[in-house]
Amino acid sequence: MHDRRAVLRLAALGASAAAVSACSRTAPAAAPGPPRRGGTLTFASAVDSESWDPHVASTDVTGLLLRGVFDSLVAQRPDGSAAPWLARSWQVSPDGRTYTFRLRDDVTFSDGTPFDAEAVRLNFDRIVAPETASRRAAGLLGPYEGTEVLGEHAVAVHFRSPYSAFLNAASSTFLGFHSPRALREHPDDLASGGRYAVGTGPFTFTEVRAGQRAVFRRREDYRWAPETAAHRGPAHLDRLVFEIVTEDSSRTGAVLSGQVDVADQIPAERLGAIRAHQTLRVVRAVTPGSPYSFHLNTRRPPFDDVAVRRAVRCAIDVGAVANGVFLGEYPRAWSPLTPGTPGYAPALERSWPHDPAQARRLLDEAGFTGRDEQGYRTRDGRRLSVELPYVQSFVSTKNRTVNIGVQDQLRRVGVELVLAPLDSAASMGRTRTGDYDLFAFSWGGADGGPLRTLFHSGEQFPDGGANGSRVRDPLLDEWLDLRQATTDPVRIAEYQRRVQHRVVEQAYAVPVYVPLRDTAVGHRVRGLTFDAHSWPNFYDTWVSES
Amino acid sequence: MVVRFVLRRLLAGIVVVWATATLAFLAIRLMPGSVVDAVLGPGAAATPELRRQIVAEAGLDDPLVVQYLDYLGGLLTGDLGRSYQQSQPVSRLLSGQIWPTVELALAALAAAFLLAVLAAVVTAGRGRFAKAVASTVELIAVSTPAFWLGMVLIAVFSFGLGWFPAIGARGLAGLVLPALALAVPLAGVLAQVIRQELEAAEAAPFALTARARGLSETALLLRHTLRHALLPVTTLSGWVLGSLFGGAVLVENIFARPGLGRVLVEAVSARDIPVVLALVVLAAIAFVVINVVVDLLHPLIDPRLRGGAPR
Amino acid sequence: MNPGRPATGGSTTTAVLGALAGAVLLVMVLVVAFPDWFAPYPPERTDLRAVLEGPSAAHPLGTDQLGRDVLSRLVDGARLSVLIAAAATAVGVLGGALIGLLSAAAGTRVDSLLMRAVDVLLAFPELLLALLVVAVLGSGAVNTALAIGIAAIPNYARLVRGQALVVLRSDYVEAARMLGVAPARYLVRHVLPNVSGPVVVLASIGTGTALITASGLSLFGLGPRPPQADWGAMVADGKDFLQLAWWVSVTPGAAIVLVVVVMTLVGRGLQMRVLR
Repeated sequence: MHDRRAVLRLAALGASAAAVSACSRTAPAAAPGPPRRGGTLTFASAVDSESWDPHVASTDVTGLLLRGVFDSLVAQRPDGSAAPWLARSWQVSPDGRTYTFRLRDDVTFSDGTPFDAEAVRLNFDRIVAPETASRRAAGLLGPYEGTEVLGEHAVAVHFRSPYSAFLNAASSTFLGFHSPRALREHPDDLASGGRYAVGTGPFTFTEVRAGQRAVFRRREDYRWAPETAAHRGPAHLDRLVFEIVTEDSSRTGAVLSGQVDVADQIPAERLGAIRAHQTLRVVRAVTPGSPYSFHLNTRRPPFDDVAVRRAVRCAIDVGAVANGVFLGEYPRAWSPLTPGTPGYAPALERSWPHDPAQARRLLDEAGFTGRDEQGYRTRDGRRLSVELPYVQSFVSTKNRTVNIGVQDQLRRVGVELVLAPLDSAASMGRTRTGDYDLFAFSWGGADGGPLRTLFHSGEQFPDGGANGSRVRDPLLDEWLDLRQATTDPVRIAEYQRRVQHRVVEQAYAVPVYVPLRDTAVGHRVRGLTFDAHSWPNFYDTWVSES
Repeated sequence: MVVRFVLRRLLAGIVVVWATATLAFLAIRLMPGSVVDAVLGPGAAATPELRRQIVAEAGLDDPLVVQYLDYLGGLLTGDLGRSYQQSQPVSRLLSGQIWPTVELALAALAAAFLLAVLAAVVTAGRGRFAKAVASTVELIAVSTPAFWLGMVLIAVFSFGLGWFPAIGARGLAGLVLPALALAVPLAGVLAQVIRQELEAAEAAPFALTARARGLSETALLLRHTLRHALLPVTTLSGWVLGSLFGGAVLVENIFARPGLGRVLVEAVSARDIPVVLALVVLAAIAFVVINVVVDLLHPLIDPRLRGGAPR
Repeated sequence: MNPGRPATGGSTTTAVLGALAGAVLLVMVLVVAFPDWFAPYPPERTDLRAVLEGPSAAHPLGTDQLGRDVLSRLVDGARLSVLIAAAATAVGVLGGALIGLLSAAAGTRVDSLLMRAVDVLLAFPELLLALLVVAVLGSGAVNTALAIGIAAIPNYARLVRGQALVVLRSDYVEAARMLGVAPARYLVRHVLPNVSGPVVVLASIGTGTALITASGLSLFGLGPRPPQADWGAMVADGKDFLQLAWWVSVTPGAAIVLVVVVMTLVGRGLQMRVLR
């Protein structure tokens, strides 16, 4: 459902024709036929997993790399609803605080341990335990209170407050299950991956080399695939190899030369080479979540003044920046959500202009009428200078280029943008205390969750949230709380719409471009599917004889 | 004699390693910013409880002296600590990365020697013009940053001609370009040294005697003068090792090769302190070992040193 | 890198190369002193409608990924690159002279302690040391220069100590000491002038080395802050576009090579004069 909407949106935005044709979740196979069993598929990943323990890691890629090893309670359908997986069925209590699951009784971990209610309890309790130092999974458990074992295969998960996003969260790899035996016997080695990572999934983790490669082998006795999958029983592939190839040119080169079958995150400037190649195709997906945006610190001057925020937004030629830096491949953004995210508000498109004259007028009215010798605006003798701290190693060169382009456009209306590279520790200190004027990042998440994490007053950086604008807006809080408490899709959509419109109206953030995930797929790859987070899934994938 | 010499050198080496470890420990502890933030990394859910947990676990609330002693004690037992970022033992993290770097360094070293000896042998004792050309080429080679050369090589041989893959760590073909990028600047220096020594050796009395006995020029070169010329090169080995590792840091990043250099840059920018410390100590150990080995090899290359104890 | 090897070519070649180097050096000085004479546009001016355009009449060296003029950025970056390299060398020479003189003038115990420390530091490649110093100090143009300078100190300390020892053991210093001349006085009067010749030679070559190290740091994004860009940062910028637009990173890299070659030639020229 969402993918189709994303297609239309992209078309409306004037994305290239190739993008539209390739924008379905299932990559079209060149020659259909029955799936072939056997073979190895090699996938070049742009990022390495921060840790091989899904309960600890925060990197998105962990969810992809470990999907084959760790199953979830439920699977997410393309429309966002939940389908049975390790849980046969479930019930939500009327107050929205208790989820009761009936588990399958035929599931085993790859070390032979049976999967049962106790395994669920052990894993969920471990995730929230402080010594686990979970960077993501604990957040996904939300207001977790505890897990109650009701029977060998029945379990109730309790929350302190209503938590409507739980099924969604439960479908992610991060809430997967380690074998209780692994938890007991080598708790300190779980992050090392390889044979230490024992789950219920269709693949077992056989080999790992940090920063280089992870190898997975099919599990022959797997027979509990979710109904969202295209087949039952063991996976088709004998082996699945992930090569970590962080360098863009190397990854592209590897798939062009046939050294790998699939390469993810093909950068815009390499798409031409991939498209020109006869046996490769590009599968494009919109990353759900929030686009790359500038979050303006509303807690201190000058961005505590809505006029200055709007002025800055008017000054930035968002379309030209996105177009120039990404060579016309990525669409510009209009909303704090990307077009691929459920609840995206399309009415915001073309709702705010690029208008330097307007920007100058607004800045004049805000009192920044003076000019210093470098041509920057001043008020009471002080230069209108704003600082954007960033962490060198975590900001891609593309995003740095975007920042520099924006810097030049702000200069043209007399605003100085200082780009301050920091190491991650110094940057964390600054973000925690709110010692910055702008912060720029994109934020992933398949549900409406990003809006809450980015704009709810209780989601400031010190709280573990990502409220980069440091917004404390009672209206936003009210809508986001109501959205969290309800499971009615119509009302959820309405609250999400209101939040997006409010954020744009108040110019809390300036969305810049929509990150697309372009995956290059070789000719022997069949049945590659993409999940709701637009990550590829290899359970149904097979390779033809080349 | 040799045993005592080795023991003495090893003892001095241990002192060097200890001093390096201590210096690095102090320098890194002087860094501004909170270690907890470094442990957490960006984008993490950092609740106050989690922060306290990390402080206690990493022993960061102990006095500096206790932390230092803990660290030294760990080193003695071969325990390099746990990586903050990857939450696994540093030794496990590094073990897979050592060979790719060593492989690259060895390949580069071999290539550099080959290029240098070839260049020196071909041009030594030739006319002015040949020498001028050679020394100009050498000068340019020496002045070229390895990382930039790597990029040019990728542009020409990988993108342009398609002869070699731009991807790292995949067999011999993937090793050629990075090793070459690392070797060329090194070869520039080595060629200069070797050629000078060759010319000096050819003018030496023993060369004259050998010629008088009717030894052919090739035999003379291979059996006597070249060996003579290589000796001073071995004394450069510490410097060669350093520039190989320094260059590898850059080249590994350009070619996206796995290896210690990449680990180092990632660890420095993420302030993964245990990893940085471990790499510094590792570099010091490598330096000590190489120097001892070279000192032991000297008598083999230079017959004059045989029999007598090295200094 | 340590290109500090004496020249071996004939004297005519040396003369020709010397003249060439002198000419390039003059141009470099002009570029650094009067960038406006050479840069057709303001270096930070973006033009998002002319992105990654090849060399043309309007842009002799093409444009980069934000449509900035590569020639203008090259000229602008020259000042930063040269300044960082020069400042780093100054730090290295000053620190090295201090430690070297101290080591030579003080007793054997201090001397052996200092030289042991210098030996340990010399074991590490300069880039690695600079990387560690940057890890402590943070990035930025000033810190880059400091880091590279500190990393270069052992080199100069070694040289100064060696030279100083020779002078200190000479008869006239011996005599001065016996006459009761204060150590500070004969160090400044006699030792320094005798040490400075070789130091200048090493420093001119070292400036080239510092330039290479600085561009290495910039490659990791640990150099000056954008939009300020030294040549290393420009090389890094163009890295992703090698296939589409080689000129973005090839030209600043070539500029680095040129300057390092020139500085080495200057060093060799000085060497022949000083050490004759």
